Amino acid sequence: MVEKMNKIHLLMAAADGSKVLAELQNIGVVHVETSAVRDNSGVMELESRISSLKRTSAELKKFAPEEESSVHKPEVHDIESIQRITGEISSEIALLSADNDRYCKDLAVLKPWGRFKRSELSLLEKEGVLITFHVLNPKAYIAADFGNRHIEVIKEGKSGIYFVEIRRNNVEVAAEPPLYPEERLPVIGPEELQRRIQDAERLKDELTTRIQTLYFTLIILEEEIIRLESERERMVAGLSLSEEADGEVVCLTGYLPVSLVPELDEFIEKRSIVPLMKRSQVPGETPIKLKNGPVARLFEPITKIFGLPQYMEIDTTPFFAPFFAFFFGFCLADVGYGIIVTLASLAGFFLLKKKALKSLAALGFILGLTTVIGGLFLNTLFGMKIDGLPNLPDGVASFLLFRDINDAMTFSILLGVVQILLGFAMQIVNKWRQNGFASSLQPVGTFLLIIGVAIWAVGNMGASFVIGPIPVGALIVSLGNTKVIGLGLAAFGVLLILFFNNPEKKIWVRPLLGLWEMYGIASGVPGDILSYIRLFALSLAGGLLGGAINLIAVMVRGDNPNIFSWIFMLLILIGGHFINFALAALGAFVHPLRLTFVEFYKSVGFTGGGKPYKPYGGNIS
Amino acid sequence: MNIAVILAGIGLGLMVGLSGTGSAIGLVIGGTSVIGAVKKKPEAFGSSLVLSALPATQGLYGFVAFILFSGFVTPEMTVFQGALTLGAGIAMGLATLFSAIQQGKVCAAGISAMGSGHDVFGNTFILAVFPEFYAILALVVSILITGLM
Repeated sequence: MVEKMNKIHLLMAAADGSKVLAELQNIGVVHVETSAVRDNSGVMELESRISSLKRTSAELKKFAPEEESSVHKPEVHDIESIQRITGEISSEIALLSADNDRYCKDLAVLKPWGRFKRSELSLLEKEGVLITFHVLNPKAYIAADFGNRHIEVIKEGKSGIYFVEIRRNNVEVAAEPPLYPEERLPVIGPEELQRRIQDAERLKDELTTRIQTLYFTLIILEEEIIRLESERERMVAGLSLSEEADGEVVCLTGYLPVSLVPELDEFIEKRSIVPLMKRSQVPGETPIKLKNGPVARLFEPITKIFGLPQYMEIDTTPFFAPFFAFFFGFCLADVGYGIIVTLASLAGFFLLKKKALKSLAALGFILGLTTVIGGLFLNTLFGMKIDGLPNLPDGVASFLLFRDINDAMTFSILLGVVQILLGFAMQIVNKWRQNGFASSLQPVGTFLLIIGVAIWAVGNMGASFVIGPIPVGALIVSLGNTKVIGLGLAAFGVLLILFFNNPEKKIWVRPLLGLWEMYGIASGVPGDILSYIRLFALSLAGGLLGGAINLIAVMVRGDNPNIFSWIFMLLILIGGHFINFALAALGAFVHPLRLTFVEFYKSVGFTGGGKPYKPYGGNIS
Repeated sequence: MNIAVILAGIGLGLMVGLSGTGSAIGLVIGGTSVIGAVKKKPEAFGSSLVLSALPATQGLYGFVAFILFSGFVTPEMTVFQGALTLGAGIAMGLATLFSAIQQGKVCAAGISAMGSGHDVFGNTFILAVFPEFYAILALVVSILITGLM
C-alpha cells in the first residue's frame, strides 16, 4: 500500500533557519519541497564538484589492485592533488592504449607480408627497382593477365593472394604504373611496431602501478562526496524556505509519512517552531512511500521497474505478487529445478550477510516453491514425466493436476481471466477514491460484461466442462439459468459502459463515446486474456527441452555403457539442464513481468509516475 | 503421402518456422541495442533486458498454434483439414514474423533512449505491445480455424 502523507509547513524565526535545517537533516524524516532552486549557481557549483569527484572515484575503481597488500601507500592525501594526478595518469593510459590499438591494427595489416624493412625498399628504389604491394581474391588472381610483368606471390590464403609487382625505373625508360591498385601499408615496419607496443605496455604497467597507490585515497573521496551531498541538500532546503512577515519568519514546506509524525512532534516540541499539518490530497505533488508486509515487500523492486503509483492510487504490489510468483512457477514448472532453487535460496538466506541479498534469497525461496508446485501441476521432473517414474507414491499422483496439455492451456487462460478481473476490481476502487462513485461505474460495467460473457460461454459448454480437477462447468451451471444470468450481467455492464463512461460529459453524448469504449474492450480484453497462454507455452517448451536433453544423454550412454559413457551422460545432463534452466528461468521472469505491466496494469488503469519519498537527510550516513 | 498431409506439413512448418524467425530477428534487434545502451549506462541493463526479450512472445504463439494443430495431422486427414492447417500456418507465420521484427525495433528505440538517460521504460513497454496485438489476432484466428476442423 501507499503510505498516507501529511503536508507540513514549518514556521520558524528567520534567524533560526540554518540551525533548524541542520538539525532537521539529522532526523531525516521530512521530504522537502524543492522545485524552485534547480538553477541556483551555488547548488550548480556543488553539483559540479560532486560529479567531478564521482568521476575520479570511478576512474580509481577501474584500477583497483587485485591484492591491496602488494600496492604501496599513496604519497598524496589532499583531494585536489588526488584528482589532478588521477586525471593525468588515466589520460596518459588512455592515450597509450589508443596508440597500442593502432600499432596492433598496423601489425595485423603487415602480418601477411612477412618480415621486411622499409629502409631496404627505399635503397632498392634508389637503384631503380620499384616494389608495390597488391591483394587479389583467388578467383581474380587466376583470371588476371600479368603478361611479362614480374610478379612474386608472398602469401596465398582463402581471403586473398598477397603478391608484389617488381618494376624497373631506368633513366631512359620510366616505369609503367602498377597493374593493380596498390595496397597502402603502414609506414612503420613490423619490428619497429613490435618495439613500440612493448614500450607502451611497459609504460602502461608503470602508470597503472602509480595510479593503484591512489586507490587507497578512495575513502577520502567518498567521504568528501557525502559531505558535499549533505551540504548541497542543506543549501537546497535553505533556498526552499519561503519568507513571511517581512522576512522575520521563514517557512519550510514538505511531506511527512503519517507513521513518522511522532518523531517530528518530538523534534518540534524542543524548538520554537510552529507546525501546520494536514493530510495531503494532491496526487501529482505528494511523494510516494510504499508500505507492505514482509512478503509483498520482496516484490517492490518489480513495482519500481515500471514506476511507483500515484498518491491516492492503489499500490499494485501485494495484488500482483501472488500471481507473479505463481506465474513464474507455472512457466518454469519443473519439480527438480524448483527443489534446486528452493535449497540454494535457503542456503543463501542463512549464509549471506547483506540485507539486499537476503531479500533476494527470500524471493528465490518463494519462486522455488512455486516452481515445485508448477512442476507438480504440469507433471515434470528434470524434463521427465512424473507419472512415468517407477514406484511413484500414490499421494504424489494426486498433485499432478494438469497432465493433459489442453487442461494446462485452458488453466493458463483461466488465470488470465482471474487476474484481469482483479485488475478491473482495483480500477473500480481507484476511480471511486480518486474521482467519486460515478466514475467507478464504467469499470463496474466492464467487470460485469467480462463475468457475464464468461458465465454465458461456460454455461453453453455445459456441466461437463472441467479444467483438470476444477469443475468449472458444474460450478457455473449450479448458478441457475446461465444464459439469463450471463447475458443479463453482460447487458447491464454494457448499459453502464454506455451511460457512465465520461460522467462529466452530457448524458446524450455518452452513448457515442461509450461505443468507442466498447470497441476498445471488445478488441483489447480477449487479446489480453489470450496473452496468458504464454504461461502454458513456456512451461511446455521448457519441459520438452528438458526431455530432449535426457534423450540425448541416454543416446550417448548407449546400450552397453562403460565408465566413459556414464561420465559423458552425466556431463550432458548437468550441462544441458543448466542451460535449459537458465533460459527457462529468464523466460519465467520476463513473461510474468510483461503480463503484470501490460495486461494487468491495463485492466487496473494504472497511471504510475509517482515520485519517490526522499527524506531530507535520509541518505546521510 | 497424400496432398492433405503435405499441405498440413507446410502449414505447421510455416507457423513454427516464421514465428521463430521473427522472434529471433526481433530479439537480435533488441539485444544489439542493449549492448549499446549499457556501454553508456550500465545500470540500465536490467530494464533493457526485459524490453529486449519482448519479441520472444511471437515464437511462443507459433509453438502454441503448432500444439493445437499437430493433433489433427494424421495420414487419414482430409484435404479440407490440410488446407485449413496451411491457411492457419500462413496467417500465424506472416503475422508473427513481421510483428516480432517491428516490435524489436520499437524496443530497440526505447532501449537506446534509456541508454541516453531517458526514463521511457513504461512507455516503451506499452508501445511495443501494439504490434504484438496482430500476432495475438492471428492466434485467435488459428484457434477459431481449429473449430472448423
